[in-house]
Formats: sequence, structure tokens, C-alpha cells
Amino acid sequence: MKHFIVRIVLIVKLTALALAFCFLQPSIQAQGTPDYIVIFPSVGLAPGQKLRLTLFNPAGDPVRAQAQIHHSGGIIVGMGDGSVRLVRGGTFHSFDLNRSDILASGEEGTGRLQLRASCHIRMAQPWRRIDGLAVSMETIEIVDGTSNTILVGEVIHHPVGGGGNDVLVGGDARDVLMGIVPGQTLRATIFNPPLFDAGDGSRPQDPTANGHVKIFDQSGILLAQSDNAVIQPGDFRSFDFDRDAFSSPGETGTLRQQVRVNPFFEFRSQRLSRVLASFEIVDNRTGKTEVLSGDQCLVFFLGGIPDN
Amino acid sequence: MKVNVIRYCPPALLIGSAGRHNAIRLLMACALLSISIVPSQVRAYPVAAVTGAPQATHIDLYKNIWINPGLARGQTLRYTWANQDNPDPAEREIEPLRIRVRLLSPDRSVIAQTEAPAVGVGEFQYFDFNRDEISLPGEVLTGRLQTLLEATVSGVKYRHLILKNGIVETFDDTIEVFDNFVGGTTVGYGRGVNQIVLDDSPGTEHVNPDAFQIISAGKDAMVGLVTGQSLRVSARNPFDPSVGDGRKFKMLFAVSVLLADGRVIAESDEITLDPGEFHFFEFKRSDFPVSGETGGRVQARVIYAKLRLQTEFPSSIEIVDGSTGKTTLLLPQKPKEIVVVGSH
Repeated sequence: MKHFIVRIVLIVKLTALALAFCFLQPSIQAQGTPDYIVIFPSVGLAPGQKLRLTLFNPAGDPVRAQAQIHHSGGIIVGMGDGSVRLVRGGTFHSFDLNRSDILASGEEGTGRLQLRASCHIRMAQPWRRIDGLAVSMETIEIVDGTSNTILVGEVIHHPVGGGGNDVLVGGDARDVLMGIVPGQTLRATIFNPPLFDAGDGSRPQDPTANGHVKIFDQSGILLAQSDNAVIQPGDFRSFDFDRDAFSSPGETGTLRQQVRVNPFFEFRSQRLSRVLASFEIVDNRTGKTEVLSGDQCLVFFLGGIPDN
Repeated sequence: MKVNVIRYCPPALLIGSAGRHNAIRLLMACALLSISIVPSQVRAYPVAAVTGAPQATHIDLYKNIWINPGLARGQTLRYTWANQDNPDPAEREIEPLRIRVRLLSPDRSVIAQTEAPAVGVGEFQYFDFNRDEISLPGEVLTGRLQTLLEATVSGVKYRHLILKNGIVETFDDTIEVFDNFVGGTTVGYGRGVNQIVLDDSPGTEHVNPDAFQIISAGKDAMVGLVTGQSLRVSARNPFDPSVGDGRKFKMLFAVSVLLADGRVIAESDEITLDPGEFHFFEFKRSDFPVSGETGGRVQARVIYAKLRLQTEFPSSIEIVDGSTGKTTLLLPQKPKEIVVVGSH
């Protein structure tokens, strides 16, 4: 009888332990599952075009991914069907968004919309890093499937937390050399990342980005300068330089003007993240981006518990 | 001699002979014994005749995976690879011998593949995938294929390479998509000489799983241009003339354009850039004294030469339409290849 009671007690204890383990296990996994957001430099989308984000998971465990875009008004539009996709190791997945899927009227004359894309990525296994994933962003002609522009990025993990000031001035990616002709506009877009909670208790001191964009010629003579702008966290702002507004004659025959674009944005924050810049040459008539150059993607570690 | 006969006879011819059965059994036993004792070599076979090195083996040296060269009908995807190994054979850590390039679907199945012997040091070669020669239907209406491109370079590794000491400047590569009819590149990316950083000494693989990687450095580029286009190469002296102690930091700047066989087809003058100044050199396709491919396309390698500056400097390489002056392609400086999976 005593043995029987002991056995029953043991079974009950084991059952309770198993139940507790069942309840505890998901939360343990969830707390340890890394959660990231990858933010692309801004790009414009004109009628007849679609935006494609592609995520490549080179090897190892699957990741969950969801793509979103925002326009300057802050509206979020899901890409693809808006759902979370499982991207297995060794495979890639593309998220598409047609310009016609967005009801906003866009810019006057062309219908172009300036957008910002991001990809929310959740690692399937605890304590896995995001390093090694690759992402790309393309603008594609819907009628024939050709890519107009492509921007490719390796996901490089930037640590979050710690102090530091980041001043956006000069540097290789920030000091772009390109040329524009009459009928084209050079558009520089600056994005101030939103305030993600790093979970370390640090708070940004002054999260706004303040500054302007300058255009120089070969000799360093200032051709144009934008107004000063204050960009709030999570917002982006575009600065347009129409070739037709330049007083310089340009090159013989084509009137092409070779320029250096220099954004100067002071950004002070306790976090190490910085503003994100993109540079586009836009056709004034169609609103299509003909050339795209931009920074690396920004990557933020979000932590958190997956809800999918 | 008899053994040789038995070895090469089909088994059906040997039935019915006891002596031969014994010999067969003996040979089979020897074969089994030798198989069990001597492990088979997978992907590694000696090429001592090529290398002359005592421990050299022919293996997959590195694998380079490119995300996303979307390819529509009427377009060709071109992968260009340049051999930038050490010109001195005695100083080489590795010896690329063969390149295999595969076009992969989202689930990693092979759409098309090609391979060729690697070109010599200082030369480059390219591999084309014409969308019109691929039978897959692709996306609805357009037939576009979203792909990965995988380039595997095999060859000889002379010794185990240890991290820090094992940084090898070895190759340059790029991806382009061009129009079959016109020949002009519509999108492209990848610039700069690649370096392999690895630690493949036995027993270290688990210590630093990221040890084997490829990084890119430099500003050189490989790109094609057609009749009516020009190549515009820019650089800026990054020093700010308005700050500092007033010292002038001048920067020498010159550009060379090379063909696939390493011949210089065009060279700029050598100029000096003052602090803050930028300059560009323009090379017209029509000035190149070669016929090129169908449509007049010339695949060229652009080299920033005569640099006397140890710091990073802004630069750009553009393809410009001669009649309109429009930039049709701006080669991104970074990143270069996207994902690298090393193989030992």
C-alpha cells in the first residue's frame, strides 16, 4: 500500500512537473528568440512599377519574416499578402508591392510615392544572430519584369545601447558623386530611425535629426542648398534638386552637370544608430527612379516575444 | 598478367571455373579490405603535377552566393570573375583552377549551370545566362526569374591558412543584367577586390565559425558598355580644406581600363586633386579599338591607379549615355557579394 501511495505521489509530481515544463517552455524559447528589424534606404515608386524586397537565408535555421512599407505620411502597407513568411535555410523569399495597391494619389503630375521599406525578422532559435542574412530591394517594371534599380545589403548587426554622437557628414556612402541632366531631379532622402526600446534602459537625449543637403560642382562651388529641416524619429524627408533650376550651364551638348551631394545632418543620441540616406535620380516626366544609391540597411535588435 | 585478365573480365564470363572463383574470392577479399582500410577521398584529389607542393589538394576553395539577380525575357545575367591572385607563383596561398557558376531557384534547385577553367592572374572571364534559353515559365505575364547565383571556385590550397596571416587578396567579381538586343547593362553590382579571411587549420572550425569569410575592398569594377555609351570614373579628395592645420593633402588620381586578357585598352592622365576637389575621367566606347561582342559591347575592368592616399575616399563609376548625358548605371560601391559560404 505504501509503495502504491508513493508511486501515485510520484506520478502526480511527475505530471505536475511535465505540465509546468510545458507551460514554461514556450516562454523560455520566446524570451531567447532574437527579433530584428531591417530598414532599407528610401526609394520612390511610380505608376507601372512594383517594389520587391527579397530576403535570403543562406544556411541553418529558418527565420520568420514580414515586410512592410511606409510612405512619408506614415501609412503602413503590408507587402505580399502581408503575412509572416517562414524562410528556410538555403532559400529566399520575395515580398512584392505594386504601386497600384496603394490608394494614395502620390506626387503631382507623376503619381510617384516616396516609400520606406522594412523587414521584420524573427529567428527561429534562441540566441541566434542575424549575421549572414542578405536582403535586396528592387524597383521593377510591371509590364516586362525588368529591374530598374537594385539595392543589395548584407545584414550587419549594429549593437544597440551605449553612448555616442553620430554626425552625418562626408564619408564614402554619404558623399555621392553622380550626374544629372535637364528633365531629371536629384532626390536625397534622409530617414531618422524610430525609437526602438533596446531593453537596456537607455533613453535618447535628442532624437531629432537636424540639417540640410548641399550640392557642389567639381571645384567645390556650391550649386544648391536645401532648407534646414528637423526630422522626427520614424520620419523621413526628401530634398529635391531639379537640374533645370541650376544656373550652371553643364556639359556641352547634353547640359549634364556632374555633382557631389553632401547631406549634413547632425544626430545626437545615446544610441549608436544613425540616420539613413538614399540618393535617387528621378525622371521628372514619369516620376520613375532611374538611378538609386544608398547607405547600408539599418538593423535593430528588438528582442521581445514572437506573436506568430 | 592473369590477374589483369580477371580484373577486367565482366563477372558473367567467370562463372563455372573453380580456380577462377578462388581468385575472385581472393580479389574480392582484398578489395573489401582495401576499401575498409583506405577511406575514399571526397572532392579532394591530388594535383601534384600542377602544384609541385607536397600537400596541395584540389578542393572547393570558396563559394560565393549572390542574391537576387532578377532576370526578365530578353535579358542576360552575366557573372564576371577576375583572377587577382599573387603574380608570384611562389607566394601564392591558393591557386584557382576552375569555376562553376549555377543559377538557383528560391528552393535552391538548379536552373542552369556552366563551368570553365579559371583564367590566369590579371585576367578576367565571364559566364552568361540568357533568359531566353531557359525554359522555365517564370512569373506570370513577364516570365521574370528571381534567382540566386552561386559561383564556386575550386583549385589548390597549398597549406592551412590561419586567421590574420590568412588574408588573401584573390579575386574580383561582379553581377550584371543586360539587354540582349542592345547589350547595355541595366542593373549591376559588386565592386572591389575580394579578400579571403579564414582559419581552416584542423580543430579550429568550431572555435570561430565565422572565420571563413570573404570581404571586399578597393574600388575597382568590371562592367560592360556598348556603342554610344561612355564610362565615367570619379574620385574626390576627402580632406576638408577648411579645417586642420592648413597643411595641404593632395591626392594623385589616374584610371586604367583593361580587357579580359589583361591588356590596357585606355588610360587617363595622372592628375592631382586638391583637398575637397573631385574629378572624373570619361572613356568613350567608340574610342576603344576593339570590335567587342555582338552589338559592340565591351566587357572592361576599371582600375583606380596611382593612388597615393591611405584613407578612404569617395568615388563613383557610371555608365553614361552619350547622346542624352543620362546615367544609365551607377555601380554601387558597397556591398559587394552578399553571402559567402566557405568550403574547405
